[in-house]
Amino acid sequence: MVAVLVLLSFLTAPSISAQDAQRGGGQRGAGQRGRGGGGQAAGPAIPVPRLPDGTPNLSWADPKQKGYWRSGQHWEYGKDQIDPKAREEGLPYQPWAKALHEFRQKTESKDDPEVFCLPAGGPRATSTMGPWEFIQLPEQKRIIRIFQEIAHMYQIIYMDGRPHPKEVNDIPTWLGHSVGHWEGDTLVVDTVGFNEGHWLDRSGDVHTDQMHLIERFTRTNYNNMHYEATVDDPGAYTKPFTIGWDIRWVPGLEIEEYVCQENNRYLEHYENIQIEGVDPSLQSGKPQPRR
Amino acid sequence: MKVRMFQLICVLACLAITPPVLAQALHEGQGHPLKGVWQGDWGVNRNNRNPVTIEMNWDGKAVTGSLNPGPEAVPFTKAELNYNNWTVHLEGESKGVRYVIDGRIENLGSVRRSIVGTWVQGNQKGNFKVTRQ
Repeated sequence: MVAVLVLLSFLTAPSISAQDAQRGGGQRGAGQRGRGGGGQAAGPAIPVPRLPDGTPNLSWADPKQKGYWRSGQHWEYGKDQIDPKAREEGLPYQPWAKALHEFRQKTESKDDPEVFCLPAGGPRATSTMGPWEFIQLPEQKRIIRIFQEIAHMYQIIYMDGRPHPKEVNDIPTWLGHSVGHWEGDTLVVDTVGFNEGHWLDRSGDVHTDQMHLIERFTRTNYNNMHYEATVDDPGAYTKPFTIGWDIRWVPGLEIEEYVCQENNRYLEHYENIQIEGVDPSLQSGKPQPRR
Repeated sequence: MKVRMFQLICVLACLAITPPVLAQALHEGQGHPLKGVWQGDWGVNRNNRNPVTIEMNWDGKAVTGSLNPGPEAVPFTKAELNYNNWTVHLEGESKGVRYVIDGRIENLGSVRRSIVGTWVQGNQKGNFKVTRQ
């Protein structure tokens, strides 16, 4: 049991980088400040900043009010569905996708690609605890989203009205191809062309390369972003579903370097993790002798 | 000279087949468990082995695919996954030879998962193991 708990701690914190050690906790520690309730700034409400063209600024304009966005960990999207009835019913799985999700739950998510520092696209990029920020470049008609942790990746959202390229599914990618537009004060991001390299959520929900994702980001006030995502993936689900949650602004902090691959100690243990009660032949590695 | 020409043809044939195979591999393997390119061998005994490649796809409704993709491919007439016990059943026919492949997925959680089981090709019966690339 102790071993499983230790391994779970690796699963939720896939890498302990040398930078973290040098900073005595460094960015991870800083992020924990945000997680620990520091996300909501005290004092008078600050209005949502706007760009010269009137669209909401999803980042900061005044250096005294800098910060970044950080979501809580959303483990299982079935429970994050907007529709209360759907929340009760769970995700509308195809049978194989349900069975695979159950297997991943039984094996305690030990095979989650994110613990191998692989990128997490789609809603997963927004439900992992790592900080991220939007950089709006209206003159270039694109928005860049930078993610700090796990894969230190970036997403380009084209705002120039272009369609998805016809060949987008020929070479699918981790984050897919994103185009965006504004609906009032909501940034709507339409993404297709995902590869099948990551799990939809931490619990092991599945997606396929047929996934069509519509994400909606609304900065409801300076310290809060409402997020909704509609997942339409006929490869794994019988109908589309919509999930959503609020994301907190973590004031005073900035994105820093983070290298997940460095000193990723989970890899030292992975091959030896065998979960009791699950057919050993379905799992990787060898059973560990009991201590 | 004939040998060199044959080698050149083989190299060119491999280059022609490689891009679609690589494109499949790039799907990264966390979706439908059967989707991808699988390589390994089958044989009637330990000393008589034959290299095989299996390619499978999932369109949201059915598994499709073929054995040894290329000019001599054997398309599967039946490709089924039993997700209750992760067993696989494949059937195909080419040039009067019927193929019946029954196996079970091993190491399901890994992108390098395998299928292990029995292989019937015409009147020959043996075993096989293929691993997802």
